Amino acid sequence: MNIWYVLLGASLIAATAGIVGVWLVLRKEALRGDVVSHSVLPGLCVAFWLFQEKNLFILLIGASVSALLSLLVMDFLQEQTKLKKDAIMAIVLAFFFALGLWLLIKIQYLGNSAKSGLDSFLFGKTASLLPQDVWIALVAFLLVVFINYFMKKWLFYTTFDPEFSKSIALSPKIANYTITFLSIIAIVLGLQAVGVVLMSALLITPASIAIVLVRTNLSKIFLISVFINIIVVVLGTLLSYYFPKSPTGPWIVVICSLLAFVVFFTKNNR
Amino acid sequence: MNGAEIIYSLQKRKNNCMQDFWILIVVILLAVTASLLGTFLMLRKMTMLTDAISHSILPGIVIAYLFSGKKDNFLVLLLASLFGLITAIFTAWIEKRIKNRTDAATGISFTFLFAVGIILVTLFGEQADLDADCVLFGEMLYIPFETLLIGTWEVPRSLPTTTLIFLLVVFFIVIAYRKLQIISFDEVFAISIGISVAIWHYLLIALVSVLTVASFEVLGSVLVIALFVFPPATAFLLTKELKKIIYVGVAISIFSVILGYYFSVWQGGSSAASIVLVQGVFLAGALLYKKAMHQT
Repeated sequence: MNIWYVLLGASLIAATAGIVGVWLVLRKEALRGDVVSHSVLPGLCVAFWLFQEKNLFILLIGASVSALLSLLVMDFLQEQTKLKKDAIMAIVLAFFFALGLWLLIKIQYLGNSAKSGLDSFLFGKTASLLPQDVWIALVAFLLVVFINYFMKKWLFYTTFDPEFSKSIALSPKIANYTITFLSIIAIVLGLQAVGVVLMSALLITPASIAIVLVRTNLSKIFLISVFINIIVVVLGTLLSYYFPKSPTGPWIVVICSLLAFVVFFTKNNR
Repeated sequence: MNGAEIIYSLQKRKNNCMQDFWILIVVILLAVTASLLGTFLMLRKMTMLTDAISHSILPGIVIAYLFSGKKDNFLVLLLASLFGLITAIFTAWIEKRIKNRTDAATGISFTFLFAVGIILVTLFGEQADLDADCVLFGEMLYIPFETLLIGTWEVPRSLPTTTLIFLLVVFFIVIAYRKLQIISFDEVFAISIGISVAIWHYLLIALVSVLTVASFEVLGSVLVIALFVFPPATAFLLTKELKKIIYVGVAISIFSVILGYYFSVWQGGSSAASIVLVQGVFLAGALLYKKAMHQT
């Protein structure tokens, strides 16, 4: 029975990432997801250090806090310095990840047997999903769908027509924070499945495929992105059942990327 | 404590000094080189490309290890660096396919190559003497234990390569300084006076790839980026003059490596991560200094 739980949980995680990824790619902020996914590491470590157990809920809160912190630091640097966006992203990514690794090695050194639990966050292991994790995934998925539904207009106009959205007083800042909030949910949730390092693939690649395939109809883009993501994650999860030695994340990413190359190659964009 | 014990402990102490010395020399050379290249990457808004390259060289490294069975050879450097260039070309290709979304294209290409690399590591890692942890963390402390002899000198085996790359990059920048400057500040003007931007662009990427491969073993895949971005960015906060950015960046690299290393000796934890933390503190310090100057 366990495999059905795992597949359900993985699909929910994939669907959430599929929705959020479309906004990130459309808004040209795809690498922001990469930064956030690297930045959760210190939060995970601190949460683990404080509570000494691998409770997903506590770890997720720790991860969200440090992801939020990284985004605040990014905004701060953007407002206070003349550094370019890419340099700021690299700075925040490297610093938070370094902090996380430093803590991780400290924890390892202190001799915690449960450190193996943190390892699965680095490269992902869907097989380690528990029934209660599936509930968390379901709640998060519904939350993302709900927010997406109510904020759709807002996000749409600030993404495609910033001038117009200014004229009807839709604040780009609120849209930005909404996207930020959504991506934190998606990323923190997806860590279990693909791990810190490859999380951005789950956000970017299916969304890019969907955008190339559909182009104009936003609802269709969302549907296709979610659909691709679910299939890919389910396939990857099954594969990792048969190759228990290698982590799930890389398999998911490879399958998804190959699909992307086929689509990019066959679909002429001009 | 008898005589033998004293001598033993002295010898150990002396050995430690030598070890510290070699680690610092190698890492400082890497850091300074990265800072030199990082300055131009920053000005050309290409910093996140180092993030991509540092991930996507992994399959190259694994394949080269598998072929040669050794870590320390030219093949690893060459093949892995080639993957850095492949990433850049690959990204450019995807970019055209998805309507010039550079960031998404970068994300797609490097996650793919990194995933392939991780799978190769988990499948063949034992033959290649690699594991997933070392990919992330780097193994700086091993530098003094893997040595080779030059004449009668016993030096770490990463020293000759590192020195060579350092000299190559310095040579490149001295020769191409004017051109790099023009390309970095005004690409359109550069094209109009007949500088072929593409050649210099890919040369820069090639050098970045080579350096990234050389640093990879020492620093791990993610922290390499820090060496490229922190020193020039910190220097950029303090001055806007290109030459000064370069000099300040080099100074910051040297100090952060020394301080970070001794911080990790004192406090434990990863040496590579400690260096990045110190660099972060430098950046925060520069920011505060600038704010304070601004107010008075």
